[in-house]
Amino acid sequence: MFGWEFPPFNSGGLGVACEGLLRGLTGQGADVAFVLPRTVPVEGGAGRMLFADDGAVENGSVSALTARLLLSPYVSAALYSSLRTKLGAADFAGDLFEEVARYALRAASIARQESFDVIHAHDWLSFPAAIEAKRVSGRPFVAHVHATEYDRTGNMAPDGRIVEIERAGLETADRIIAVSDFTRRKIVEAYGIAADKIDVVHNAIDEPAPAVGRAILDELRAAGKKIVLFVGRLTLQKGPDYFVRAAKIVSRLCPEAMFVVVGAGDMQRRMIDDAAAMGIADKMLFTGFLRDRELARVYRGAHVFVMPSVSEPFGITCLESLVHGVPAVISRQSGVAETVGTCLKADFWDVEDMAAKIVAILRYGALAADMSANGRKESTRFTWEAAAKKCLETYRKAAEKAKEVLMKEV
Amino acid sequence: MPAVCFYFQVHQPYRVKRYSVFDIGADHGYFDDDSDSNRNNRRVIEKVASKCYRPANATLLEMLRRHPEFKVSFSLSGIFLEQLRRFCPDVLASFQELVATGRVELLSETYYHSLASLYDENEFREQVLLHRKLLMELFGVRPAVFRNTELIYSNAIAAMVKRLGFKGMLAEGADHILGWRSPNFVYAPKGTDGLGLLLKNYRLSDDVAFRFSSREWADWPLTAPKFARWIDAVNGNGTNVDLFMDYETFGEHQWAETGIFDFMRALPSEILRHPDNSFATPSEVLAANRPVGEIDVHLPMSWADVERDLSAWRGNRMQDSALETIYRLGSRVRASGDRALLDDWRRLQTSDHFYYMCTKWFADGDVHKYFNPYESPYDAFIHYMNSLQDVTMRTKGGETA
Repeated sequence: MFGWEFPPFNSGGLGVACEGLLRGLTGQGADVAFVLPRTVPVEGGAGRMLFADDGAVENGSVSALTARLLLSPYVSAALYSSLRTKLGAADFAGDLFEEVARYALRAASIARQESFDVIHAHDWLSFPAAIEAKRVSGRPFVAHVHATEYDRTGNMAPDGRIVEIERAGLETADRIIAVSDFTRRKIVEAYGIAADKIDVVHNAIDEPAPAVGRAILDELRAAGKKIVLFVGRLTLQKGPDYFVRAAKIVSRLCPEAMFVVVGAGDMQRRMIDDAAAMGIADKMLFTGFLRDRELARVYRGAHVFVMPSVSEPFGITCLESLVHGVPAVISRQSGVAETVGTCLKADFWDVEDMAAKIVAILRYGALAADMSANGRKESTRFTWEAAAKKCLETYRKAAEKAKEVLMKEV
Repeated sequence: MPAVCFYFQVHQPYRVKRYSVFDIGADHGYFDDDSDSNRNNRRVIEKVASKCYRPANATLLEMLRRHPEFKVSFSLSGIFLEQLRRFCPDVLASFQELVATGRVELLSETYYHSLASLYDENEFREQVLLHRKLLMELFGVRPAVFRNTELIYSNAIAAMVKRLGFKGMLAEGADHILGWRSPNFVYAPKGTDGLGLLLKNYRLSDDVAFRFSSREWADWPLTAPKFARWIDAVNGNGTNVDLFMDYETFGEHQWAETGIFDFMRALPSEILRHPDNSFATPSEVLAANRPVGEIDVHLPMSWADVERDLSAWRGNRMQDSALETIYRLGSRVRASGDRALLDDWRRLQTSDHFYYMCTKWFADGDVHKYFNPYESPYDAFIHYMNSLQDVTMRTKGGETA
């Protein structure tokens, strides 16, 4: 299995999903070797971890930092080169595409050494690695799509080079796994892939760790504030600008509302400017990127979670809010909206509707209570075990397809 | 010996439109959705009229003309009749034509198809009297037998119904209250004298209402001779077989293509083939039979879902909060003396509003999903509560809440 990031060196849902899936597959008795492009000190991952840089664990901050920033699957090619210059990480490949290519070359030699039945690769950064592995081994290739370039750019100005790598991966793959029907449709429409080549496997959520310490937002709650939470990278795709606009409307109807933004990204500056211009800067709190327990504490302190994504292939943060019993208002332009019942949905551009739904949850205690209890209950439907079973089924189909092709060639 | 007693429920609520927080204080037209959605009340009733009411009424009229022994009963909610008068007057005329045959009994119910019997006896009484007045005005009849919203029944409700002067009432023939006893007799309520109870034979009723077109059902396809044999089997073991169902069974729940209308057309002669069988209206059944036993119901029951309880309307916090809020408003709404406000408040009492907020379907009823005109029970609650906030403001003469 070729990935690109893995907790705790992840910047988003891709790493979380890979970790969960790996655990689910191993639990089903699958023998998985998980390949990452660079050596990172991963702890406690199920399966065998392989690193495509031959190196031992590098000590300290450089590797951690580069893994976190340079190799983020969400970084655009332009940002990658500017970050690289700033960090002066001289031992890293010239640009993101070189890094992807280097990974693919190493993948070929790993594929020659290892023995395996199927290749499973996550998103475009690892597709070239999988294509190489398939070429040298003849094994079937399953492409797992967590996001397309159109999603990451909010359907604006996709990078043509990345789209081409995605297309090559999707066309070469024997089967495709999409994280939602929403994404399956996108693959069919934007990449011209046959719908019957694609299986939908929704992401899952684990039970949250038991509550440790008090919620970070306790003081605010104690002061009678209502906490409206945004969790996600502050990029076009996640719709943080729509969050600010909805916040403006909410604060007019509900003056005690506070808006907490968890995440980092290139749109933070714009959000602050917008909030200031709207006169709600004092109601917005930016926590930066948080993970695990810190993030869990923020969820526990929230009254309502908002996911206003412009184009969200799945939206694992919605499941995180459910599992913490936080009522969610989510964008209809998301994969998770097609499968979760306990939430309110709005079109991302309809900030008035979004605000009205946020206000309803803040205003009607019975609504919040029922959504909280039912959301917790519903979140238990989403297990990595079930997702892994579906992946195994896809592997079986991929192997059959590869065999058919082989027979034809013979 | 058994008399087949048909009762059809006919009702359409005034669904609340998407009423947002921004509408509060500015818009009192809670029910005037004019979109292409199932919240558009005119659109819904026109659709159901062409699929069900028109063909079903024509079928019944034809059956009544052909078989002098055939009889049925209806309960038509007040707000259903209001909407017919406004949107489908021809359908109202066809109901009047059916009643004019003298073999179609009309039952009493709350005008607003409400849950008032559970919350406010005065309000309950007023709604029953309003309905009585409407039936007199439209059909020239005064109902003698009562059926409560969703067949909700308890000892206490039976006592209230008796106080309103009715001689009988309908209820669900639920297993948990009948035990080994048969629903095919007249019963009496515990603690109330002089009120006869007709209990729904839910097996035979649901064979028609729910299972008729189900191919997974061992008895599919259901034919009139087969169904008549099941009725015959009651001979010697019952005086009345009460077949109670939603009228929308005919053409809406069971589409015309399933053969439901042909089944009905063929039924009278098949049932009458056995010389001991007959048809009767609820009043006739009560006049002909003495109660054989007593029914004791403390916790209210209904005809809904497998539970036969009230959990479809008040099983979660949203429903409890909505019901608590609307009935708490009663005294203020009355005190306002504002007739339009009183009418809006009562339209918001219709049981369907609370049904749309039901979250049970995670486990059981896709039925709830099918009938829900809102994106989710949570959305149903929001539009409803926002409307109620506006009602609250109106009771204070425009003051903000």
